[in-house]
Amino acid sequence: MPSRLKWARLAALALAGAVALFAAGCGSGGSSSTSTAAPGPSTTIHVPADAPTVQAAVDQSKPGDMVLIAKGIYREAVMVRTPRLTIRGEDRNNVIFDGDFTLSDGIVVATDGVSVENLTLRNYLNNGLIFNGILTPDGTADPAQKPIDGWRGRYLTAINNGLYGVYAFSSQNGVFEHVYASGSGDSGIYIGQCQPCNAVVTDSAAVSNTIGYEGTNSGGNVVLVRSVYNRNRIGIAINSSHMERAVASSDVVVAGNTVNDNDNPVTPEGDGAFGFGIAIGGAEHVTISKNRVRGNRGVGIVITEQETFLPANNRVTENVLSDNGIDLGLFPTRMSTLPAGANCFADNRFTSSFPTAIEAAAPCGSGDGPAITTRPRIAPQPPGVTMNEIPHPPRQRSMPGAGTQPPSPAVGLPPTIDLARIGVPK
Amino acid sequence: MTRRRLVSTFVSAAVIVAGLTGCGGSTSPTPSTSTDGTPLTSDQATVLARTLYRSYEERGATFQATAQIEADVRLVMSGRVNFRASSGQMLLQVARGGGPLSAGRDVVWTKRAVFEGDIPGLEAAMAKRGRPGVRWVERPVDVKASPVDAVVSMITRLASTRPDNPILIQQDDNVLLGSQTRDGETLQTFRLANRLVLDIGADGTIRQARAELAGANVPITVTLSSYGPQQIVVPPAAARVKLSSIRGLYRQLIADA
Repeated sequence: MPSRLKWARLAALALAGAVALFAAGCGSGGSSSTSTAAPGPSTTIHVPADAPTVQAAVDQSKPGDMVLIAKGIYREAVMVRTPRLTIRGEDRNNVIFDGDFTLSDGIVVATDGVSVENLTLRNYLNNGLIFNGILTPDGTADPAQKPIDGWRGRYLTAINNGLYGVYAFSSQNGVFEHVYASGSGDSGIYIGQCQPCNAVVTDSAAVSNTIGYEGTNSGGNVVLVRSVYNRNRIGIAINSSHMERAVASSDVVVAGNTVNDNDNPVTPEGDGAFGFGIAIGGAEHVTISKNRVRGNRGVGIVITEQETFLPANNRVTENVLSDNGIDLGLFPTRMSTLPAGANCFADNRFTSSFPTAIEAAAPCGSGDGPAITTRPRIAPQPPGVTMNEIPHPPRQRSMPGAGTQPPSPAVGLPPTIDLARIGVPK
Repeated sequence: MTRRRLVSTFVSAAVIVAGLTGCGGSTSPTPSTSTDGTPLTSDQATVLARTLYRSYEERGATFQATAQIEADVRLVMSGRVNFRASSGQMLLQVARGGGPLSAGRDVVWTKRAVFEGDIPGLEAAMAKRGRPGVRWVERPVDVKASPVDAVVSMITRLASTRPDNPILIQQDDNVLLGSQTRDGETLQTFRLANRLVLDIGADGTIRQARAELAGANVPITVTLSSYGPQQIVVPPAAARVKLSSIRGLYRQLIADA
C-alpha cells in the first residue's frame, strides 16, 4: 500500500511562500496563476516499493499526490493525467528513464499542475519530457482545447533524445529550472504554441544539441535567464512559423545568459542554420539584453525573417560579444528586404556587425532606419551525427532534499524574475 | 529553423504533390476522399513521424515507380535510391496504350543534377565534336519542367536525417485511412494534409507513396522494397556533357529517337 504522508499543510505553506515572493518581485511582465493546490491530504507513492512501475504509480495517484522514485533504470514511457501530481526521483543521476531508442517519449504530461523533478531522461525517439496541451483523453489531438495550466520541470537531465529534451507545448504558466539538456535531435529545451505562455527558463544548460533553446510561436511573457547555451549548432532560436498554431513569437526576454561556441558539428544536423548564437526569426517584441555571446562561427546575435514573418520591435542591448564570425547582424535570409527601423541595437560591446556600424544603422529610439537588402555569406552547416553518437554530459547536481521535501505541484507559476538584478554573466 | 519535415518535405515540394488525389496504384486500399480517415493517435503519429527517418536509417532501397503523364502514356521507372546521398539510378521506359514497354533509358540523379544515358546517336555525335566516350547528358534537376525529375525528387524526399515531430503531425490534417494486409504484412495507410498517401509497413518503412503532379493530373506511384545500402555510381566527367552546351543536338537526337 502506498505510504500516506500528510503533506497538505506543508504544500499550502509552500504555495503561500511562492505567492508572497511573486507579489514582492520587481516584475518582468509576469502574470500570476490562478491555480490552487489540491485540497486534502496527499499521498506519496514509492516506486518500486508501493508500485512496480512509474506508470502504475501514476495510475493509482490522486491529484496532489507525489510519486517518489528510487534509484534505478526505468524503461518506461509514462502518460500522466493526474492533475497537480509531483513526479520526483530520489537521485537525479541515478533515477534514469531510458527509451533504448525504441520508446517514443519518456514522460508525457497531459494535465494541469504537474511537476517532474530530479531525474534523467535519455534515449527516447521523440522527447524526454513533454507537457502536451493538445492531447485529448482518447489519445488524439485537439489544438482548440484549453492549454495546460501550470507545469514545472526542474533538476532534470535530458540526454540524446530524438526531438526535444524537455518540451512545453500548448502549455501555460510554467518553468524549466536546473535543467541540463544534451544531444537532442532538435532542441534541448523547447517552449512552443502558447499565447500567453507565462514561462520561465532559468539556471539551466543546453549543450550539444541541434539547437539549445527553441521557442516557436511562444509569446506573452517568456523569460530566459541565467542559463548556458553552449556548443550547439544554434544557441537560442526564437521564431515564428505557420506550421504551429498561436502565431507569432512575441514578448520574450533573453537576459543574463552565456551563449558560446554554437558551431559544434558533433550534434544532429539541423535545417541549415549553423554557427548562430542567438537568432530571432520573424518574432516581435523580443529583448536580448546582458548576455555574453562568444565564439559563434556565424553570427553572435542575429535578427532575420522566418517564413512570411518579419521581425519587428526587437531590441538588442547591453550584450557583450566577442570572437563571433559577425557579432551582431540584421539581415534577411530569404526575403529581399528587411525593414531596419523596426528593430534596434544599442549599448552592446562588439567589434563587428552586418550592416557595419549597426547601432547607427538601426538605433534604438529612432523608430526608423534604412531597409536591409543584402546579407553576408554564412558558411553552410557541416554534416552531423546521430543522437546516440553524442557523448553523455557529466553528472549534474541533484535537487536538495529530494527525499524529504513535500510535493511541489506546479501552481503559482511562473516565478517572478527581477530583471533589474540580472547582469552580464562572468 | 523549426523543422517539420514530413509536412514541409512535401509542402515545399508543392510543385510535385499539391492537390493530390490520394488514389492510384493497384494496391491502393479503400478509395480516399477528403472526408475519409480518422484522426491520428499518438502512436500512429509517431509511426508517421519516423517513417522518413526510417528510410534514412536503412540508407537506401529499390523502387518501382509509375507516372501517368497522359491518358495513354505511362512512364515506368525501376531502380535504386541512396537516401543518404540523395542519389539514385533507374531504367526509364514508356508504355503507350496497351502496348509493350519501350526500350529502356538509363537515368542517374543526384541532389542537383540528372544524367540521361542511352540517347541514340549521342556518343557518335560527341565523338565527331572531339569528345569520344560521352554517353550521358547532364542537366539540373527541374521538377517543373520534367515529370521524371518530379518523380526522382519525390523519391529522394522520402527520407530525412531526423524524425519529425509527431505532435505537429497529429494536430495537422493528417489521417489514418486504414489498415490492410499485403503479402502477410499489415500495412497502415495514411493521408497527409497535402494528400500524399503513404503505406507504411510493420517495420516503419514506406512501402508505397502515391501522389499527383501539381496541377497536371498526373498520378505518381512509388513502391519501395529491399531496403538497405545502395551504391550509386555517378557518370564520370569524361563520360558526360552538359545539356546547356548541346541543346540543339539534344533536341535533334531526341526527335530522331
